[in-house]
Amino acid sequence: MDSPLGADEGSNGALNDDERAALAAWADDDDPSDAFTEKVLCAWFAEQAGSTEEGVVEEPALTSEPRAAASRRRAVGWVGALATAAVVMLMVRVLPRASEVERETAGHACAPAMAQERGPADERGRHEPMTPGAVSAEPESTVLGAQAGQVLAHHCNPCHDSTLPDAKTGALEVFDLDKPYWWSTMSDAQLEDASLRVRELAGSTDDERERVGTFVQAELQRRARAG
Amino acid sequence: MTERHQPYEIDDLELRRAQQGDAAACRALVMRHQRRVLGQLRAMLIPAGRGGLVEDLAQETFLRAFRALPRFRGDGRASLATWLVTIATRVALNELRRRPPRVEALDTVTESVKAGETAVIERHASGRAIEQAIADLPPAYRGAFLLRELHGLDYGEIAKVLEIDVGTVKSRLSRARARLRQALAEVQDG
Repeated sequence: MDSPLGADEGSNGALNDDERAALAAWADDDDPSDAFTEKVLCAWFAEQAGSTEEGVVEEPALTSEPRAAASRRRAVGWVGALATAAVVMLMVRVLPRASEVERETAGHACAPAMAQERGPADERGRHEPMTPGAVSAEPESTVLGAQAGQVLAHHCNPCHDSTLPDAKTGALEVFDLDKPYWWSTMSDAQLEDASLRVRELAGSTDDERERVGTFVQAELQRRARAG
Repeated sequence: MTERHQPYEIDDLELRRAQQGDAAACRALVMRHQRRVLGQLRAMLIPAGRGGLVEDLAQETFLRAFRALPRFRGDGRASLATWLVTIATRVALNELRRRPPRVEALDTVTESVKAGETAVIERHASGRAIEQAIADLPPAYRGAFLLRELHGLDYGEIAKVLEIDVGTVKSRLSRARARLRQALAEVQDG
């Protein structure tokens, strides 16, 4: 390649075109595969199916547009995938295993495959609680917490996710959904308040209310047992 | 980052459809922005020896984005692309914070990444030098540098993403640029 260094060599000003090109060439890659797109969409719509009673993709609101028909055809195609995803989600719920309780993994329809790809959870070291000792290793509570976290991610973001640009400092001090054990910073009263808020949300489904309510009750009981 | 074959943004109508959960629009959003997101994560994670997490964290980035998308307001410079890169950067920084980067020789890092990533590194004569220079940077410096030089965010935007002041952004950029220039100069001399 030509010299990557420009006329302002030695200064720490902005990179010149050649330098930026060298950097971009290093970071760039071939076009991502379609498989990645499908993986993302599979996970997203499976999560959607898991958080709605109907478990189907909502009809596009702008059906008068020319592309609406094509969108509907694609949506019909998703129904088959969603049925499969729903079965996987059900298995995740019925057979809670330690390797499947990571917050992010539990939300994916492709969870078993992803867990296999990633290797043992312990290797990744992502089970460490925010406050050591404050969170039980009880799988049930952890699985329920992951499921409740998904519900809250739909209704309480961007304020409660530190990776989102509009997260609020005060909200993150209560709980941060980016943390594996997001509830470990919450008092009993704050947990109960979260459950109450979800119940009162106009946009929440019965399933979502049940998920959060079940988790909060389980966590409060666990804390009571732990003293 | 170059944007071959794809427009910078999806249009407003498609964004509104994605916000309403339209499957085709969600697909378009991923397809239009996955390269940018993957590129940022690759540049953040591979130098830290975490190349194996790039796709997982890219997926996590899009899932977080979809969850928050109904409330996204793409006014002015706060474009969807910038928003997504911000999320990707924070996801990567949080991952590196949870598990500090492994300190490895570059050859070890290179061997440990997937074949595709290795091909990227070796495709360019200065790739190794750039990677080494970036690997030497603390993650927060790396983030600031990539947001500026790869994605064109201004100082204020970078400050907001990294939750630091503008002066700190400038000093981090200065240090990162100096490292990169030194690395490239060594390649050139050598």
